[in-house]
Amino acid sequence: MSYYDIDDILADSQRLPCKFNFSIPGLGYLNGRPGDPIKENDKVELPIWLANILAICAAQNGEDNDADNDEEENENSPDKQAFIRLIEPEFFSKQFLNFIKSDPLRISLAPYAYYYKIVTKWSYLFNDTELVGLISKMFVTRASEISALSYKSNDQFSGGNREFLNGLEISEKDLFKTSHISYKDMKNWMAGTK
Amino acid sequence: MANAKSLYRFSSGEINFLAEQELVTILPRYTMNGATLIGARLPDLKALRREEVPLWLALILKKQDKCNIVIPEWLTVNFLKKKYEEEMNQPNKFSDLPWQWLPISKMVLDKSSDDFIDPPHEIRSILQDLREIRQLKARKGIKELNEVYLQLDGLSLVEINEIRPLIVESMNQLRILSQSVKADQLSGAGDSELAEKGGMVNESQATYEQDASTTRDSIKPKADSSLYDSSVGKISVKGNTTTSDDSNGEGDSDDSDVEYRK
Repeated sequence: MSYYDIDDILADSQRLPCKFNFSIPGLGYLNGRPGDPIKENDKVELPIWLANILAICAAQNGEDNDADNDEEENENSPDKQAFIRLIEPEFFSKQFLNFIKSDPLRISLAPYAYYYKIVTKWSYLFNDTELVGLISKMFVTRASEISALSYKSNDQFSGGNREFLNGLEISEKDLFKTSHISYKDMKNWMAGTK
Repeated sequence: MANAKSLYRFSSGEINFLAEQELVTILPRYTMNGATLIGARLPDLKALRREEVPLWLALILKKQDKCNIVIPEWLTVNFLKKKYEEEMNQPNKFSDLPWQWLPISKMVLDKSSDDFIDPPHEIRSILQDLREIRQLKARKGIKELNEVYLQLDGLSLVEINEIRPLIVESMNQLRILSQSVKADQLSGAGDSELAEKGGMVNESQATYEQDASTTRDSIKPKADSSLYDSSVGKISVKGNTTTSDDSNGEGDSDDSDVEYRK
């Protein structure tokens, strides 16, 4: 999580579905129709870094942009709206979360690159304590499984283990790798004689 | 891959080196003059008078058949059996073993097995049992991870070291997750509460709602350093083995020396 963290940058370019609150001329290229205006309620997938800003900054009518920083209440008043609304993506849907709740080890996070980072960024915006609680619990369960599997190297490909390992998220794969290297180093050293 | 992450732990070679600094008692076979060596002094040796020297020196002398190593009292079948029972009886606790019990026992068993009173193979097998049961406990403990605190009383350097990468990274991930919501709550809370949470006080928090991206960036590095340190400090309960600091290596072996003698 730093300025130079390439994973953080890549995570920032993952896309979130959003809807525009305004019709904006000339932005049609976001929607695959260059030249046309983007219409109100058009559904677009925007990278997180862009969606973040557009969802927070209130669109101002003819006012100076500097007024932005002054009052928070303005944001809630009806005549000031953010440019876009974020729509709940598939991987935060109730169904998906219920799946996580029922069995954190069976769910495959591989299709959702940078899932944990997206969760972090999402909860920055929505302060979704419940989501974070659930995801943290899932992470701990998965981490302890990762630790167990990274220790017993011959168990990795049997039964559900293989499926689990294939379904690891990017940071979880890293975790697995580092943990495995560490266990292996110690094991080799304990076994070796000099 | 192995670059930044490998800083989370010692390599086996480094551990070996640290363990070799531990003092053991030897029984010289010949009388010889002492010598000043880098890092240690070989005292004047008199035949059959006990002397304390670093393990590495003892192993060299042993190799040249110039001494016998006096096996430490914790490396006996009796002692280890007692510890093993202790481990069995306390499923949630680790029994107290020397800080470097694994590398020392390995080296002494490998290179000086004729000095043992008990049969070495028996000691080997009990050591193996001990190691396995403790490892099992340590890995079971990972289920209890949280983002702020972890206590690993009684674990030795090797045992901490091998789970350290996983634990440090997991706790870091959990902290990032939990902070993503806390940062928001904090922006509403008073400064006093902020100070309690590990120095995350940040002037720009008031503007968080509007200026999420910049605030986020400025909160992060601060929180990173403060919380990261404290968590690492707690993981390595016995010595100050923060991996980032090379100079701690010395203090480390000193710490454990003290415990060893108790």
